[in-house]
Amino acid sequence: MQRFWAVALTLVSVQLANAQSMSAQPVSAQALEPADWQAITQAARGQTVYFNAWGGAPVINDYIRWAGEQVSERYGIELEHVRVADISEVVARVLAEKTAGREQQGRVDLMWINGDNFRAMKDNELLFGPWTHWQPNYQYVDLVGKPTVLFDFSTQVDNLESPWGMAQLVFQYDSARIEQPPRSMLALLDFAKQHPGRVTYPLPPAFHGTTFIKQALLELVEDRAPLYQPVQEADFAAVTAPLWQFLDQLHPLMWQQGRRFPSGAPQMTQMLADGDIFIGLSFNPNDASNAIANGELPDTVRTYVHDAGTLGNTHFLAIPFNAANKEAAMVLSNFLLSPEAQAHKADVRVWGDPTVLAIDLLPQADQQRFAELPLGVATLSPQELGAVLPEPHASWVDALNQAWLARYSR
Amino acid sequence: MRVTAVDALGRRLFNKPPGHKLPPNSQAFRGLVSSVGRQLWLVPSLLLALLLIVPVLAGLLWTILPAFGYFPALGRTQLSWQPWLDLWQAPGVWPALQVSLLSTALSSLLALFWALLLLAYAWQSRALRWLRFSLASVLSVPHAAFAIGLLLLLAPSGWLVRLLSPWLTGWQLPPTWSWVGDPWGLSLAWVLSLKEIPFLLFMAFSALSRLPLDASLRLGRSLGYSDARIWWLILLPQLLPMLRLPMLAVIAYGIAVVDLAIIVGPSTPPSLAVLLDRWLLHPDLHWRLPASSGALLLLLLSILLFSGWLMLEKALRAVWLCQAMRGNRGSESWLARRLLAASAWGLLVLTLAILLVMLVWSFAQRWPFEAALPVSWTQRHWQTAAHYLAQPLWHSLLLAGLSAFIGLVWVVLCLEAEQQHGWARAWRRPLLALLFLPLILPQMSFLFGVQWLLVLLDWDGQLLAVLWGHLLFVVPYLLLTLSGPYRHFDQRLYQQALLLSGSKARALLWVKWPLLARPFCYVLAIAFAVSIAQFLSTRYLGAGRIATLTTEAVAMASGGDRRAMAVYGLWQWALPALVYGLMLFLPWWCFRHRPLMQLDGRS
Repeated sequence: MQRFWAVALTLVSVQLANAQSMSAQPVSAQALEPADWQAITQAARGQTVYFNAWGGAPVINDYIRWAGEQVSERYGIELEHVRVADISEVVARVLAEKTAGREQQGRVDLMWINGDNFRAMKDNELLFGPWTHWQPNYQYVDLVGKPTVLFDFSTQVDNLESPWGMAQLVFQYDSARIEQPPRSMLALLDFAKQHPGRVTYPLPPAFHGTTFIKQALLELVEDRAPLYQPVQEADFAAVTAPLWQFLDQLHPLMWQQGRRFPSGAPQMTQMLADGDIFIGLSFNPNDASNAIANGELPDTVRTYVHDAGTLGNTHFLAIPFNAANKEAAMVLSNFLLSPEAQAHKADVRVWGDPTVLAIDLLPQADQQRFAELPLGVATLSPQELGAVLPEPHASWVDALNQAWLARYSR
Repeated sequence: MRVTAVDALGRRLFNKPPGHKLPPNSQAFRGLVSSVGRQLWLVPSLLLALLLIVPVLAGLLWTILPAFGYFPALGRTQLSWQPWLDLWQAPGVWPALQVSLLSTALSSLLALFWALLLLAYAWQSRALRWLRFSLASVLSVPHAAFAIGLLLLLAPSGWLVRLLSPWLTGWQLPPTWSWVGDPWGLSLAWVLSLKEIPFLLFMAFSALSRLPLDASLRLGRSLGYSDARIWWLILLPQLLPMLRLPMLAVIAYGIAVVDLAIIVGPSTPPSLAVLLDRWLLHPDLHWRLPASSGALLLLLLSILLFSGWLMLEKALRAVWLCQAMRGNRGSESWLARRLLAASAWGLLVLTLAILLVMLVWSFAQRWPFEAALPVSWTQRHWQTAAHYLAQPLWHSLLLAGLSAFIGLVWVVLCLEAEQQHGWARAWRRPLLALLFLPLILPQMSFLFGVQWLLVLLDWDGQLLAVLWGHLLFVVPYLLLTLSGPYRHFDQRLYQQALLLSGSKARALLWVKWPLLARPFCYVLAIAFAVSIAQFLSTRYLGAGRIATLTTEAVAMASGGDRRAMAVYGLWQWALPALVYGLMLFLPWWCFRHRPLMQLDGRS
């Protein structure tokens, strides 16, 4: 046994030494010269990029496989899609690597990320960069019309992650079952009174659940200003009082009387398809069209938004501070940002994920690509999608989740 | 010169003072050789033990340090009780604790007693015989796939309701009630026990092959005891100690289970393991600290429940002894026999139906509610899966095959060394306890440390590292499942063989190990299935670069496409089912000309 403790102690001391050396020299991300994109492309040739991205949707997996074929042909890069169930796993992996003092040769090259996870990685200096503005295709990004490409849940992006796609909260209903969907949170409450047990929302703190809570809060408060400041500066109890009042009324009318919740938007799609519930939600405005195309939803399902506008955000690609194949990761990211890849992604027959590019900045031929995209049967036009509500300050997420859990999950 | 050196060594080995007269030189040398030979036994065992214990210690270290506030990467370098305070104050911890305790205790007891009753009342029944032969397929359904399949079958919008609606039920829409997710965790306990009965039965069958089953039944009957009474008074009291370690596995699994608990357990609040899992995945990395405290709490809960079971077992055996002393012969209970045989059929039919509903879903294009079958069909889901599953399939086979085989060889060597020399009896217990830690601690907190160790050595992301990680979980399962049969082997047979052959190796290879072939095959199959089911260890140690069937299935399940989930679930089931089937068939076929080697003494 003594031997084992000796081993254990050695390990601890190694770890302590690492921790000290880490604090002595902060993570430097400036190993690469920014301007020389040519050199980056050259260095990338022959590299294998491990792209850690959510792997729960066959259509997205197929899209990434397509991108892999393209970059392999054009840039000599191998793409390995590490299909994860939850990107926080990957955050934990990068954290473990930092804990063990691995400053290079990290096992994650590129990750699909946003929101809280991005903020956690930024705060803990787990990201490489700034680098996204080195990409030639970054010039087409819609920095004006889509401010969320610069502020990820109100956290400054600082060129540490490259925009990949846009998201906006939309709701879905089956037009064969109901005629008029409720276009506000208060209307939803009335709807629930008419159809008890047929309304629900995903369980916080899962991403989609928190989104629903934030949407409700934004609709119910009189003054939204405090929501865009750090939560510590606001009178949390006073600001959120109307939300809890609303939820207290809604829960008894919900599916399973609000004692049980679906795990996320995908489960709600299932329940909508079966008729367990009447209203589904998604962060991808094209989700319903896509689900109709592949048979998951009946072709009578339609999408709608609330009159007051709905939450919108952007999802991004980031490179960990110690990635082994940073060059290939950047080249891949640049390809995924290209008008061609973005247009292919926006096609409802492929994935239907809205672009982050500004169409009017594109060359004529590329504008044409977007113009030719078919509109899905359940997809709303940009006018119908209406106003995008920016995400509240990121600090509200956890505060709301904790308050929700303390009220409804104890 | 040589003589003195041998003498000195001999003195040290035999712990004799220098003045002590040693035996004549030739004898001393022989003694030395044999004692070195004895030590040689230990070399592979110790080496592998080291290989397994170092990562376990690393895992434990990185559970304990954050539990007391030490996590330098997050800037926490001072020990404190704060994580424990955070744990107590977090919303929902107390009810979560109750759910965990209740569902685990209930499910393990329910599974055990159901299995014991089946043995006692339905031993000779056709139902149990069928169950025994198809146990393979029942056991190999992965836990999460089992739960998903059960919901596809029995949920308010499941196949059963679809088949009966609307002509019988009158429902145009699925009803709004649901039997899963009650706040006490009863449905969780029920589903867990359904999944654990086959495991306990499997272990019982393997253990029973070492009990004088037929002789006991014959003797008992000749004294006028009913069969059930013989089981209760004679056989089960012998069986229970052999099921102690499998019960530990059941309890540890129940306490730490996450995927199944998310699917059928309560959600507001969930069980403790699910709650901790959520914290470990929390974007704010500081939640890892109270989650680590919670992991230690889970460990305590497992120990508590297991000690509880040991006491209960003792009490049961005392009660049975009292009953036996009374000499009451008992009478055959037709009702009990019928009911239990029916429940065995029920279990079989349920498993078959789960596999069937997954098969139907995997070919469905569109399957709306009310329709008894999909309204349109497609092979697309199988074709798409083929793109993504070829390499994971190969990884799974390789990892499971190798880890099961290496694990088995090692465990057999260890158990044999223990029987030959009683090696290291003194530190066997703490050592074993350490080896079991991976089963009991929530994998995520434990694996963080293992991952850290591997990163330190720069071994992560390789197949060998993942194999190592799988061994961490396969070996304790092998120890759990094989120690009982191995320790209860009738050592007189081995001694007889040793007398006749004069060689330990021959006695082992030709007599002892062949006699134990059936348990070997059984545990090999279990080890294979354990490795196939590994998710987090594969993910963490493979750095995401080694994809297996299970990692792909979990990723797919997060997207909620039932048709794709069904395809992946069926693949996940097929591999272990094949191996289980093979491992049930092999001993039967090898010993088909040796009736006494068959389980029930008949060919």
